[in-house]
Amino acid sequence: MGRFIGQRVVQGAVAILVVISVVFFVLNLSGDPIRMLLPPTASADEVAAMRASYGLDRPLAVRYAIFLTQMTRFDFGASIQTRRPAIEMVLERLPATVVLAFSALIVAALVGVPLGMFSAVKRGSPADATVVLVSMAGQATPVFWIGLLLIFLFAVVIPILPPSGYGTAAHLVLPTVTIALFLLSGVTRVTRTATLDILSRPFVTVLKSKGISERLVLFKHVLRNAAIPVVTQLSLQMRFVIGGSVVVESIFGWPGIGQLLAQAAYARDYPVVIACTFFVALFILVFNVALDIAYTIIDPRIRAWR
Amino acid sequence: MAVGEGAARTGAASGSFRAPRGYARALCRHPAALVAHAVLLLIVLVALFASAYPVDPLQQDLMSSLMPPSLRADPIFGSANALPPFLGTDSLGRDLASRIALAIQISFAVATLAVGIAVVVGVPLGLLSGYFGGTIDSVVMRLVDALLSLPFVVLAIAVVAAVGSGLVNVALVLGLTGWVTFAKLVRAEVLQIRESTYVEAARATGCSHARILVLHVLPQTVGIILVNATLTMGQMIMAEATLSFLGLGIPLPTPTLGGILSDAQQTFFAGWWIVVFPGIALILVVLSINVVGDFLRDYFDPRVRM
Repeated sequence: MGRFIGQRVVQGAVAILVVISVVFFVLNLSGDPIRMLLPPTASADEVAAMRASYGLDRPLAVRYAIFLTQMTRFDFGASIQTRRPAIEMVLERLPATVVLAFSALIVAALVGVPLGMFSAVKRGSPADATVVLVSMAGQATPVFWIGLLLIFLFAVVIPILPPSGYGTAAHLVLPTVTIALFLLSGVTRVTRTATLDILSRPFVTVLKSKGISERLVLFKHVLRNAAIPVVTQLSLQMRFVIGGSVVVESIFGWPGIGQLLAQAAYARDYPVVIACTFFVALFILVFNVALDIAYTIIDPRIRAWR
Repeated sequence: MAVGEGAARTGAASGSFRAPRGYARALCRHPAALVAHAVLLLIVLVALFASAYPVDPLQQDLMSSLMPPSLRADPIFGSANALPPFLGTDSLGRDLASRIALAIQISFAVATLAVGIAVVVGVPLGLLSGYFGGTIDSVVMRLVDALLSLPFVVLAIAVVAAVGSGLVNVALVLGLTGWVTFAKLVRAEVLQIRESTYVEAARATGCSHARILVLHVLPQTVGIILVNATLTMGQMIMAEATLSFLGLGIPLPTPTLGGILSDAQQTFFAGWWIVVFPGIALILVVLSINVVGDFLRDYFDPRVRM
């Protein structure tokens, strides 16, 4: 059990290292941010001095070695725009993203799981067909379009919620609902498939033939067994939560990592881009390891194996 | 021997094409897929002939700014244009219908290029990785797992920060981050094909590894490549729209679905059509591609085949 979790942590750490290295090399091989920082009239000496002050005059291999040693101290260098340490800028925005991500995931699970189960139990009915159709369309709907429509409906037509900003619970509603709607179709589809799979198992037939009520079979036996694939899928959804929140944070002016990443990419602020990427990868890793631990609680069989 | 086995596989397992007549018959049994094929065909025609639309998508006319959709020729708008603004105009008085048509063309151009790059990079890596195993396999798979652990959009943004925006750059970024699914799927196929008797027979008759890979293994993976290319196409169109929406994709004044929606963000308080129509266009494009892709997957998958 402990070894299993340990393996996952090592795998994840390797993945983060590879991702960060890829981003580092792409950033370093593709151009020179210095030119963008100085006026076009800057002399060659000024450019060279600026380059040296950021350590960009050294060979790539040396820079990579320095980068790796700095990484072990979570030092990503200073932001090119604000001159503040990149890590500081990312850390102060981390809470906003975490709050948004979890509230969206919880809302999506609270709506999507019952909806998927309902759809599976009513398989073949018009209600089921509607759920399948809508969730299919939902997967093709861009998250920023959902966001714009929600702003239009609930901040312009019926002005009951703030269109953007951060601070109160009311500000959280629209971004959360946007990401939750974006996730909902995936969660619903997965729950539907998992429930259908469990419903076709022989033990369900046995339970029903023993005269146990439909409701009891569904909630006590089917739901528990369907929980494992559903939880697996929720862990994969975290990638989409973060991917969606990059866009949603930008629309709603939500001061999270996603907005910072988009802004830093726009300004080609390399240290901040790397720091954001690192923390996104780290956040997803931590979430997935936590879920692996959660499995052992949901499913005693895993505890027995490991 | 090799030929006989190959023919037997074609009938029994995933891989090579079947007769087009079988495809049409299968299509007739799936009304939803049939509709999706028709819609997609229509969209592709719009994309191909977008520049033939008689209204200039870049022509600004502040007199006819923010005109609602209308089917009647407008005296102001109509004096310069052959057609009424049947999807309305944007804040600069540009015709929305012609902008959306051109944007769809650009979406397809970027996505096709990106999928092409992803296939060219991902398929050979998957083939080599699955066929030879060993070091190359573990290196490629570490890279694949690492890149898959991050949200696609985050990765694309980080790379765009390096190479800059623009049509070719966006296609390059999406291709170079999207090859991983091709490598992963092709590798999984090759792992099975490698063990088949016809590969063994080819090796026994003295075929070189290169010949076996290109003539005996690659043709068997065409089905899965085609399915994934279709599904990836939808993902790429969505990703391009997202990048353009964030201002990191294709720069103005080129119309893109993401760019039009980003513009709309500033002015949609004045008119719903600027948000609604580009969004619906994007949904129709991605949805029809997804449905066609799902149909292709079922068509090529022997377990689902009726």
